[in-house]
Amino acid sequence: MCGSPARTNQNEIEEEKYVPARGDDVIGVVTNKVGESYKVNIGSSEEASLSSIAFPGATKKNKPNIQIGDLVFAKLLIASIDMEPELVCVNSLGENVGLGVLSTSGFLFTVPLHHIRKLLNPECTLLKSLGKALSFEIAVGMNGKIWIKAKSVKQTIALARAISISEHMNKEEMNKLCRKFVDRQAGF
Amino acid sequence: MGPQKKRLLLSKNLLEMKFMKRTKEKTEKELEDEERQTTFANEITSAMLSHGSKFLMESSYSACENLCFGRMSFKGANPEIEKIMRRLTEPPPPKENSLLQGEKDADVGAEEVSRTMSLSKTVSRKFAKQSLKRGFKRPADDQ
Repeated sequence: MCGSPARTNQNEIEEEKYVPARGDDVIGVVTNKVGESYKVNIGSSEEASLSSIAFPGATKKNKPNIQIGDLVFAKLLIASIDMEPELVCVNSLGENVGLGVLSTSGFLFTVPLHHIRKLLNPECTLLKSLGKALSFEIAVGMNGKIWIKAKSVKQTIALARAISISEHMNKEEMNKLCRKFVDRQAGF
Repeated sequence: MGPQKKRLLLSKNLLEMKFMKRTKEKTEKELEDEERQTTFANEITSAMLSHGSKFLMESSYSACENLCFGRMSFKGANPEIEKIMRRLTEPPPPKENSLLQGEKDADVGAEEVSRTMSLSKTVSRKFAKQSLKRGFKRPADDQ
């Protein structure tokens, strides 16, 4: 039974609010530090909490240096209608699995939730094709947020545009888009 | 609505008495369980409880649709992330027998240990001739 997206108005363009689901990897913005944990905005109705020791190699004496306004890529540990969502940046064994603070020199943008699920589908080749052309790193949050960091600002914006406009494309159109993108980047 | 089971609720004064202590705890526990059931009736329905493991709750789309991990890096932008990506895609290495694994990493091999620590050599030295002990050489033999 998967969580279904809540819709605000059926007549308007689909503006879905993210409903937190346990096990999702999301991108959040740190808004506040309360005691030993941070308050993180993940675009849901309630702000999530992220403990300062839920990071690889963190102890009570050795906490990570996180500022308000930082971006974090974290996994939802607790997400239910009655409780405040809770995030972690580490797996159950305490290992680093690619979660954590994202560099501020990247670009954060929003994309509809259904598009996120399409992008992360193993059969979708968009990100892999773009990755063959350009060197970049990306974090895709199930809450509709995508963070990209490429070698230059121009490349970053171009990648973000490519991902945004591929929203309603099928596989063929996506391949065409990738080819056009590669050509443009090569200078043609 | 059919005939409802009417629960016999004992009076409060009766439960306060010392000899009714155990029954009091039992009734309190029953009330708590009932409360818990009604509050969580939305999450865990009675059908789920009676039918056992036919239902599996999976809250995340990423598990249902087998989605890829959201953090990716291409063409060397972030080597750590690329290492994690490789670890996720490649099959796990074959697990060797743990005893043999210890043998490979050992500083001193098992054979050498058995040779040096063999009791037959160490205890027999105790009964050897005085001259043979500790490589003792008589001053007469040196010349």
